[in-house]
Amino acid sequence: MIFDIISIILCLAGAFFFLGGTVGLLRFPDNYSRLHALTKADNLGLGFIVLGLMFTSSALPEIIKMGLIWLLALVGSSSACYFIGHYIYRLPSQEEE
Amino acid sequence: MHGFYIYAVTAMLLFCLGLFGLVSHKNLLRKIVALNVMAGGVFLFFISIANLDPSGGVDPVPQAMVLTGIVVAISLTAFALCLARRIHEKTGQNELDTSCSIEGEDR
Amino acid sequence: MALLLDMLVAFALVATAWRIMRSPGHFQAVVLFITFGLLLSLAWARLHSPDIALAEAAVGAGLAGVLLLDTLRAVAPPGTVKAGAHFSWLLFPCLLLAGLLSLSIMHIQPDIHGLSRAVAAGMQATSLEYPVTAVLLDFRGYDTWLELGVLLAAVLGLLCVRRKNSIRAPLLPAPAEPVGRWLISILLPIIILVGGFLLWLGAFAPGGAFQAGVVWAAGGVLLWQAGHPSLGALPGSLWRVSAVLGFALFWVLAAAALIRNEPMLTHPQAKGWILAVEYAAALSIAVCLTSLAIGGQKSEVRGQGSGDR
Repeated sequence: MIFDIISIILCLAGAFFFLGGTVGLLRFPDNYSRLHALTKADNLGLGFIVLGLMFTSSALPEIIKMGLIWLLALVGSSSACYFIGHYIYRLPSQEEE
Repeated sequence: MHGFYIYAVTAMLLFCLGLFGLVSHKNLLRKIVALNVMAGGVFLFFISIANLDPSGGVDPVPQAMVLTGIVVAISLTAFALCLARRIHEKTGQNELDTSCSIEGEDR
Repeated sequence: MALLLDMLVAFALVATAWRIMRSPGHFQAVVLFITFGLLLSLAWARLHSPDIALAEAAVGAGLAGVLLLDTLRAVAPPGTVKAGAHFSWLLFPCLLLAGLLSLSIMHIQPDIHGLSRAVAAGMQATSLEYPVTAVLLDFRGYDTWLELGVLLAAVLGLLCVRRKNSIRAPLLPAPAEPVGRWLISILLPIIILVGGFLLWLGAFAPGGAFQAGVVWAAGGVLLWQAGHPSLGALPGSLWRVSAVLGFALFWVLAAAALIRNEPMLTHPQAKGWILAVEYAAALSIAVCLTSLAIGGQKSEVRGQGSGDR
């Protein structure tokens, strides 16, 4: 019972961060701050949701798998952020050449 | 049950939107994307039918066929994209010129 | 609540498909198509088909996206993109067709009996415990066989069109940035592990040769994109043998059954046979899909692209 309540609160917090990330993606003026909103806020939101789902699960392997999935998503999105940022950073210099 | 009707109607819409994209775009790349959307519609309809099974489970035969279909669709897409690229190399265009189909070729 | 979620997914699918068809930019359409693949895999999950969700997420969103973006860069440099839609009035007949097809859905009997009873009855006769894998590899083995044939034919067709002797395209030089290498060193072992896990899981739970092959193919494409030399270090003959192995093993299975005067593709009641065929099929799918993703490249274009980066 108490676990259910904790899980609901955590999932709502995650949803809030996702909403914030999406609003940032839509409203921020330039590419860098959009990237910032997308990767930081969404990863935090995903972390909260994974944590919330961990509380609903009773099996230890499931919990470990969910944690691993979150770590993988972190690795993927941080490197994707790097590649996109790198590409944007190089764009104007290519035009100058 | 409701799920079946929702996804079956969605599948029909996807199929017809894909058909629309296939005939309304001249660009070959867009045609290939539209073809993939059509394939998605067909797969979706197949699986929504499989969900109608009265035993409560999902019919495994359509699932297996859709799995096969996805891999066939991606190999078809890869080959079609390769042909589109070849056409671009040969003619410099991303669309098929139907008016002078022989002249554009260098033989 | 579930109804609401279904309607949301369905609406998102249709809206994304609409934007794919009508967006003026090609790049936009391709990115929307990747989104479409992800939404579709959400729909598979809602329709209780985790196998298809896995394959769709890897194929529809991953491999198809890589293929389309690569081709887009080769054939349409950014800036030359223009809206090319014509025949817009055709939307009305297409929507009419959708309406008619939807009407015909209403006439489908809701209590049709599919083949799940037949599959359940046949499950005793097979050594696999998961029905979808049993259908793929045992009951309808010729589907999988010919599907491997289609993959092989696509690879051969690609080689003919590109006029190449070898499946493997010239590999990229290793990228200067350290993040790509770091990503490879983390992701590659995990991809191999996840593919093997899915393959092992297929005997009794959602997973199997298709998903494993697709995940491995994604790993191969990642290796190639990052310019890792390991793919180039593989001997070409090994690559060719892996590509035809699944098809060839099915062939041997079919021929052996015919020689024993049994119906085609029947095989002895041993788990070893099925597992051998499954593993070979996974390997062939992985190698063929990787070849399809890599083989379309023109070596000059790649060299040029990495040179001015």
